[in-house]
Amino acid sequence: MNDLPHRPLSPAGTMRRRELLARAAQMGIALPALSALGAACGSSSSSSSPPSSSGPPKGTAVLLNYQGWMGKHTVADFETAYPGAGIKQASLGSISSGAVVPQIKANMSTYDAALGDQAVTGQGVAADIIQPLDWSKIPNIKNVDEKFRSAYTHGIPTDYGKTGIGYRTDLVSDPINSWADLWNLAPKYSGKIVFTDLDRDCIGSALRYKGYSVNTTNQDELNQALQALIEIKPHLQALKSYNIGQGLAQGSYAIAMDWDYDIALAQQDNPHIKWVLPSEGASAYLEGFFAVKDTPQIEVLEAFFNFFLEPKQYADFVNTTGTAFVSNAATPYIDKTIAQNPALIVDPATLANVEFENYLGEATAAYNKLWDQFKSA
Amino acid sequence: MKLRRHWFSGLISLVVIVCLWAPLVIVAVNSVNKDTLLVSWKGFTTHWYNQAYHNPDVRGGVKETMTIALASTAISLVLAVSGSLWWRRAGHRSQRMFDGLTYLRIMLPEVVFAVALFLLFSKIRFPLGTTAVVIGHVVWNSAYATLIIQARVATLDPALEDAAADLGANAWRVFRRVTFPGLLPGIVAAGLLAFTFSFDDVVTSYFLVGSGTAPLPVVILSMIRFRITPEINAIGMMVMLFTVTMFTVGFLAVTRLGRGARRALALPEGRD
Amino acid sequence: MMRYAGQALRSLLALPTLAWMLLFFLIPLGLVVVYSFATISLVTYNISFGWTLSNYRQIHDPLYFNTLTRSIFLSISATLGCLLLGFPLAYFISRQPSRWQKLLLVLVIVPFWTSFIVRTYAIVNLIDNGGPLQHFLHALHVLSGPLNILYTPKGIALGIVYSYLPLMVLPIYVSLERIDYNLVDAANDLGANPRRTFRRVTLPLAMPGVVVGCIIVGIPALGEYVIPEILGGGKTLMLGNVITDQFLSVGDYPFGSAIAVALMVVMALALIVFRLAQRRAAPS
Repeated sequence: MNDLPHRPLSPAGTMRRRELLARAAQMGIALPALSALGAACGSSSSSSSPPSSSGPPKGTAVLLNYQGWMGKHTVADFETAYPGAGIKQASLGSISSGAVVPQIKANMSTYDAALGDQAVTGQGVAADIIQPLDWSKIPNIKNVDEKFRSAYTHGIPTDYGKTGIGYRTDLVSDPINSWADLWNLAPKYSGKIVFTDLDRDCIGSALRYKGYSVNTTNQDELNQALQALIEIKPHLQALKSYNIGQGLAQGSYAIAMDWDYDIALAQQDNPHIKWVLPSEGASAYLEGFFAVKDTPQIEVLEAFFNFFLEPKQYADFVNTTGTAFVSNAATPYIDKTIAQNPALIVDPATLANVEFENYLGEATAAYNKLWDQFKSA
Repeated sequence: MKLRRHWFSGLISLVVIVCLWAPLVIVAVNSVNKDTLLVSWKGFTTHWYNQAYHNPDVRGGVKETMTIALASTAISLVLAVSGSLWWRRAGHRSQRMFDGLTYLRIMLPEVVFAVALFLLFSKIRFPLGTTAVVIGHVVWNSAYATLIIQARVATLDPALEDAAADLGANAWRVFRRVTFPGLLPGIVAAGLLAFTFSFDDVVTSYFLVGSGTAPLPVVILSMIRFRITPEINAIGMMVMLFTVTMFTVGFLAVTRLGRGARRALALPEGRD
Repeated sequence: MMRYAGQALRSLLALPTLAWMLLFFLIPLGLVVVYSFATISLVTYNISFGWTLSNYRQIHDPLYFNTLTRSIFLSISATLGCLLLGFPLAYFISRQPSRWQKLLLVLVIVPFWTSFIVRTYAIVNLIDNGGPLQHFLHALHVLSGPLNILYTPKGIALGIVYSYLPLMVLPIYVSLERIDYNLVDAANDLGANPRRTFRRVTLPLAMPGVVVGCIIVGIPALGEYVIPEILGGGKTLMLGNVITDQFLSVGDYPFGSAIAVALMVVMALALIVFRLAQRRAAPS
């Protein structure tokens, strides 16, 4: 069912550079008036509209992305629809979002676009590596729900995820509904608990447990979160940054802090797995694609982003990755197992309890130190 | 095999070799498991090998890794042999400096090398890619190769070479007929080691490959970030089989050539 | 005349190595040292090249000192493990006829042609509680109850021993292979105590290989970060993790460089002490 996704490589991948100025001169911006009007209400009619420009975009853009985090056919279909344009994907080596900005900044000419969450784009703005997009070239942005569009302004939002709890109801006899439950049950299920090996997720969850914001810069609150984490560490089997759902399905551990889409996938293999959005709240990420500053491939990117947001294409992305999605216009094409999964669907009431991770600015150093201290404990 | 005389070391060797191969058994079993999530055994299939074989990232990765490994091994061996031979007759101070240089390369965590080279290349605008990776690999590979060949050089008897020289052979001939055969086991050992290192390297390759074709370990690492699947295990097995085949062919070719050359030169056969 | 030509030629031999290392090792290293005195804004990622000691002062945290001690201890254990297993193996191989030697060497190396990462994850399966190793030890009645090696420092040590074993075996083998065992065997046949022969003859001749093996296992083991992550469950912070994190996750190049420089200094000192002791023990 959910096979390991394949991303087809663009053929040859040669970069042909065209003068940006010449392109711009040729460009006549004349939007189809109808599709522009449909924006505010998220109407399901005429949801797919190509951008209008007199010359087709040409060139290959390099997208920094997680391996497999793309629709199975998206890139191939894009390259068929726009001959001469190509997308080449480069891999993020580290799963930590903190790695994206330094990686791009250190080598600006290598990447044209990247996947990043709000923390990354916040950091990217401060480091001045983000290229603003011409939204008139991306009319399909109207397919993205308003709340996500307004939260993610520097690029196109692609998905979001929450860090909650997944546990085996057949191995754990007590109900778990909150972080407090997890922390209280830790001694009883010692050695059978796994946390994510990600600083923001762990610290954020501990902060929610203590009743604080996941973006706090208050050192006292951070210390409390650190204490909570150190307190539970002896009971943790491991800190994993991958494959958490797999271990849960196998029974290697019984309780896990994990992302919603990973739990949803594991549930297909073992129906005893239950997903919990803790009552104190959860940290979440909202991520998307953004363009790197001064990229010469900006037209290719804008065309690609627009193409990506077409309902069928976006659905391909969601079906491949199994992630919680940001566009309701694509729902008809999305697998029922994803579209109707309680772990992935979020109603407004629950969404209120989810807090998106933001850029921390100067406080980043404090979080890094905290993480080192936790890992060393 | 002389087993009875060395039963103790033989027993330990057996245990160690079995342990070395044990994870491979797991990899092999996983690679033919129908279960995508590898939770339980769901039946035998060769589907994953098919998928891996046709995966363009994997093919590109294998080609890239092979190129890098062979190139860096060759260059490292040249540096190691030339350096060790010089070291043998060099003065004490020069020797110590050379040793310092060698040990320094081994002492640094690889990530520091990788970043240092990355910074250097970005500053002088040297293009990242296969060449950059090979350069990086040679820096630390040659250190390991040098150590091994130095250990071997220490056991060579210089009297043999002096005798050959006194009998009228020039430097190149002395090297080819006396020194090189003496060094051969060391060269083979060092070459195997250097190749294996390059082959499996993630850090240097990751930093210096830029947006070029990713070498295989980098491809696998990114695949694993998503999920560990039977396909990844299939890749591991395929790569091993491919490399073994390559080396067997290479080995047979070299020994055939070596035997032919030795016969032509009427040299004595090696210790067999 | 020929001697002069020979000498000039010999100096030329040093050239490739020296040139390569100057360009691609020493100069980048200099860059690292320069970076260690610089500062970076973690907001804009703009580096200012000053001459500040702030990075080194940051290292003076007990957090990093504990990490260093932990890494050293783990590395020493793993090196000893490699030595105890690797020496008999190298010895056994060196005692076989040449054809068998090659075969055995290949048997030792081939598992390492299967991607380090894939192999390490296979080890996770092997040593997991409820995995094959636990079953095996139960069957031998050596162990009862859970194995508890995975996701502990023991697991990390095991992983390092496994991954670095060829590094110990090869240099020792290379030293041992040169020994003319015909003489050794003859001496033994003539009545010499084999254990004594081993201690007085074989062992000292193997020493250069042993020293090399210990160095090329023990020191890089200090910088390991993949194995602690996978087999240690990410719970044990090792020096390699700290340095890699700085470069790959945090992007604080100056701080990472400072840690690297400090590590190098510590290791250089240790090595100097070691070599001095070695020279004093065997003046030849």
